Amino acid sequence: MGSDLVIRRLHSWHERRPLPRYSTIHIPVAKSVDALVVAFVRMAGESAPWGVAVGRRGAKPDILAVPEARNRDLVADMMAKLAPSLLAHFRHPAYPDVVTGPDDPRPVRQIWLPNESHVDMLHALAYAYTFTRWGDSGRAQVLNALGRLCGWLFREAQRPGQVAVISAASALRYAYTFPADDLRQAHLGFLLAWVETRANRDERLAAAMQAEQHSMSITLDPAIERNELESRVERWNDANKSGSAAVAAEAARIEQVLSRELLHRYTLTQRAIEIISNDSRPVNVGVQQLEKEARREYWFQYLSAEQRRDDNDGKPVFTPSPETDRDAAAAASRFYAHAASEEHRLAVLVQHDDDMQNEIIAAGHGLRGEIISVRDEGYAGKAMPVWVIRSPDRPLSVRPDSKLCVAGLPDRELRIRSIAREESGMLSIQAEVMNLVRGPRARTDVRHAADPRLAGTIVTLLPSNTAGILSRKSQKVWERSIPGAWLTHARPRGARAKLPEEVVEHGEGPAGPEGAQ
Amino acid sequence: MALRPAPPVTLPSPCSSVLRYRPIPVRWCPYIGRLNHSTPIFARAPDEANARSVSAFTRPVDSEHSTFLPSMDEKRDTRRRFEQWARNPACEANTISAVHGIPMAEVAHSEGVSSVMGQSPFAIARGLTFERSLFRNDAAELRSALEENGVLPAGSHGFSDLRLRRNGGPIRDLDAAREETIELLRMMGSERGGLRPTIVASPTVLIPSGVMLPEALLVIDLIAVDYAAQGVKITVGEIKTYPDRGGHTDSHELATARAQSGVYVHALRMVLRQLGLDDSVMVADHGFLVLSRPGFNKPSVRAGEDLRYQAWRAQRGFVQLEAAAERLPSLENKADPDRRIRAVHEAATDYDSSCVSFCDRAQICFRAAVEAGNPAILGHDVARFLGNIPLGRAMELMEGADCRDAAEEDLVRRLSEGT
Repeated sequence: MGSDLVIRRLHSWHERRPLPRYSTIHIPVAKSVDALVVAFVRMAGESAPWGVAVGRRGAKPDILAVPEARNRDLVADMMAKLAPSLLAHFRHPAYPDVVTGPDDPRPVRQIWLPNESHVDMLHALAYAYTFTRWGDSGRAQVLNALGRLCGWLFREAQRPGQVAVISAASALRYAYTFPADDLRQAHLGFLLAWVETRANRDERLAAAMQAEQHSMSITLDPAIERNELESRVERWNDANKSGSAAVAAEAARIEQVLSRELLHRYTLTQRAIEIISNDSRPVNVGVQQLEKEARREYWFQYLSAEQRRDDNDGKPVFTPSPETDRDAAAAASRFYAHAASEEHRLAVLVQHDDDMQNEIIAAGHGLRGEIISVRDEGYAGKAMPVWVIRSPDRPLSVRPDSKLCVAGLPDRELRIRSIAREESGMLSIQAEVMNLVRGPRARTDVRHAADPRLAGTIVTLLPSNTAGILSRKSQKVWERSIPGAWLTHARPRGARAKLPEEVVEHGEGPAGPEGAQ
Repeated sequence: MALRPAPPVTLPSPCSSVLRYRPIPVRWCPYIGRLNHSTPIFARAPDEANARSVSAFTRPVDSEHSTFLPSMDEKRDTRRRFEQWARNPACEANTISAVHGIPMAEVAHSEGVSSVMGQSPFAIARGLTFERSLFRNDAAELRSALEENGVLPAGSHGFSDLRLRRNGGPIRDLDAAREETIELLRMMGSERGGLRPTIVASPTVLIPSGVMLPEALLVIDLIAVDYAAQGVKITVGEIKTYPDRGGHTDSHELATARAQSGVYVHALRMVLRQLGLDDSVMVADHGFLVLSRPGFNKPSVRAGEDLRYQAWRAQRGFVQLEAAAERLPSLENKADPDRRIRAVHEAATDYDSSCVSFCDRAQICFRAAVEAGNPAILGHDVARFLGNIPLGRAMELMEGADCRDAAEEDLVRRLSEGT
């Protein structure tokens, strides 16, 4: 944790309440029709769900549960019942709401989950169902589609700047600084109690400590399993084996407990959504760029493959394994894609958020100072403005040759020529303006970069957006006609590379450059 | 927050050939009880649903934590107590609890706090079942997985089961398991022929020095033994039933499993040295983890886990624990239970944010830390940032109070620079 975050946490304790983090909201909250809230519970030790609550933002949930989570058939039936809700929400081609391409202008569909353990459940579902052939073939096909969707949602959740899979606890932590340690901040109820309790610090803290007694993860409190569920599950198993009529009653009792637990997780997630949605801060303008990127990822990483599969033309469609990509080029490509996403996220959000700019400057990735002098070193009619900036001395990750851009004018890029420490203790930075020397045509308020009247103005320089370079790299790494490709692009072989059949990928290989968008 | 009623049912219907799964709306299901009938949920037709009986396939139970022993044996298995101590060695109450085997849950209970750290009965059952499935048929499935991952050479054979009877093994109690383990280690180190198992379940060792009171007994999940020409090599294995999700497997869980394995590596080396077998039997620096496959009751072996640093950590930890134990008040094992609990209760505590994850008294200590202005309540980083300055004093400085010394001046400077 950087010192700026430590200091903010201290301020939060001092103010006796959570403090807004950043001056804008960075997480878009979709409208009711586009936001699905899902909460899971599982039996301890199991990786599959025991029950699930699903519903739209602001609506009551539908609750699914099985009496015995160790019964693979029962769980598969339950998930097959859940599948249409998720598949239709994410506009699977089997459902009427067709998406035509990556530039489909409709809002990004979101799934909200209580915390990261529920996001992990998506991965567990991908493992269990992406390639399953268990049971009825019709059910298996539905489960395969669900597994592929969950696999993509889980992968997308790892991408920086994504806006489709939101953990409510993460969203709150991102939007506010809480006066608590990191471990406690993993608990959604704890965070909500801090935000919602309108009282002094002691009462807020007491409410938060009370709230954290109730498990929010996919795992139930062991006491609930021990005291309320163990005997009931045992009785259900006995009744089921003997064919007793009591089986339905026992199942209902189990479902009652699970429903209570699911509803708790679901309701808290809904409350978190409303808190972020009702926050008085404006939504960062850069979020639109993140949504655009999310639509492209959604199309290239998930939907286009589903549509090809839906065409049913006999051609194989690649289905990635939930375990591994097993392809060095694919892994490298996604690495660059994620790096590009992170660069893109920072670049588009920071331009519209003063607090974020301060955070970047405090971290040493940018700087703020006064332009002391402006000179033009251009020749042959070409301007080459050079600014001398005086900035407070603080640790910098900026070095000579680093490229920075001007806050509020992201296309005006500068190359750092030198950084020197003055006797006054300030830094003297020489920077050469590389791009947008004249300023944008549509704006009359921006001076020419060589205009001497810029001297005396305060300028903020931020890291420039290198997402484009990284995106191009993510495509170029697929190139196989390069020296050493036999090594760098070799697919692993041999006994150690063998995957169990239930998780082995299908198809010829990853989608290639298109999939690396 | 008042939620709106669920919107009118708009059942999404598959319209392509791919998902030709016959949807029917369901209002009640014998397997899952009553459903909200406004649910966009689908079920198979009743005849299809009943075609495969619910009891046709009931997957065995499993658990996150494989090592389960009943209370008496659990108290004797000191690995858990060592790990408890290692999580917060600065806390004297924690040290007393770990060294003397006084459960924190009992101390917390005596202070009116109910334990929240218990294990789920389903998790315990799952652990036992997973272990039993691994060791079934002379550990055939486990052997296959170990050979496939290079832990054992192909064609290995020989299984020695030192599990207790209550865990599905043939051994009467922990003392018998320990004797059998020593016998087995001697046999491994001898030139004579005889039993040469390549997989040993639950070998049990007593740590030679008297660190833990009254004893330091460790039950290792399993070891794999390679009788190559160069000598006998033991590889320590740790069984966990949480799912192996490749690179997304919980890194904290993996770190814990490696730390546990490191303790076993160190303990085995100590025992071999004591038996004079350290020349003929070596313990490998690398171990392996046996996890479960997500959604399937099969083992997933992670071979080649580097345990060198974890073994060093254990070695250092035991030395420190021994030194800490010597400073503690004497508490005989049969001492009055109330006195033992009181000893923990009266000992000094040192709250750390990680206490929440393992100690039943964390809430009590947290409240005390809040009142004392201990910056640890805001996390390690804040505590490090403030140094010896209490939280209350830091708040005063933030409000503009005059600095009393250089440390406070430095803090004010850092606070002003960081904002």
